[in-house]
Amino acid sequence: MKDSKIVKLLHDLQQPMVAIKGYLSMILDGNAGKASDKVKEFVKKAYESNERMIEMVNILSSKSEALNPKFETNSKL
Amino acid sequence: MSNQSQQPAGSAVPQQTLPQQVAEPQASCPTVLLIEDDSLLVKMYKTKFEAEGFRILTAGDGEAGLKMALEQKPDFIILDVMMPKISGLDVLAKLQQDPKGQAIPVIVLSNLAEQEKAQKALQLGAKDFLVKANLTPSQVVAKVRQYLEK
Repeated sequence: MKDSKIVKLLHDLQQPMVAIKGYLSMILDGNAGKASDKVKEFVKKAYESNERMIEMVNILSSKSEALNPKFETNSKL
Repeated sequence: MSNQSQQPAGSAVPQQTLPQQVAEPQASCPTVLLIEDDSLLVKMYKTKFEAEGFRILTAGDGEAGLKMALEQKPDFIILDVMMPKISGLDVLAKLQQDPKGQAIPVIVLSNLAEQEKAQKALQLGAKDFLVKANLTPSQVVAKVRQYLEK
């Protein structure tokens, strides 16, 4: 079982990334009105960067599972 | 468990921007109950589902969600896992124990791909276990449509 603090940290890290991903995708879907090509280009770059952050959290999640119970945090979450 | 691979924005979202289409929910449109404690995500999914012609009900914790599910009998439930008062998995278990709740299809949405929780959710009768970070709101809408058509 994962350390509960790590799980909470990863959960809390992912929550804003999910919101960023969702809202950016909705801009590209047209849910926020018509966006210019330049806006779409910038939004796509932001979307891709957010995807990399999500991937990093996923890697951290799998690492923490593998290392547990040695992988612990001193932060007060 | 659906564990869709993360794709670059170009393939995860439509290439072509569509004109904004906010369909007015019809009397016969499917009603989806979203049980989620993060208000930002609630607003996001609500906006998307309403734009796609769904009627959406929301509850900010497991207890309120369970009560609303049994009273309103929505066509579909989207259920978060980590929530105040009653967890999503406990809500799912209680729904399955109630004849009024058993018939409502449920998708469980979680932040993390936790195999143990996914298996538990599927054992408790969830149609699917989805990881929020792997899906855009339009992909969640597509999943709900897919299960409503079955």
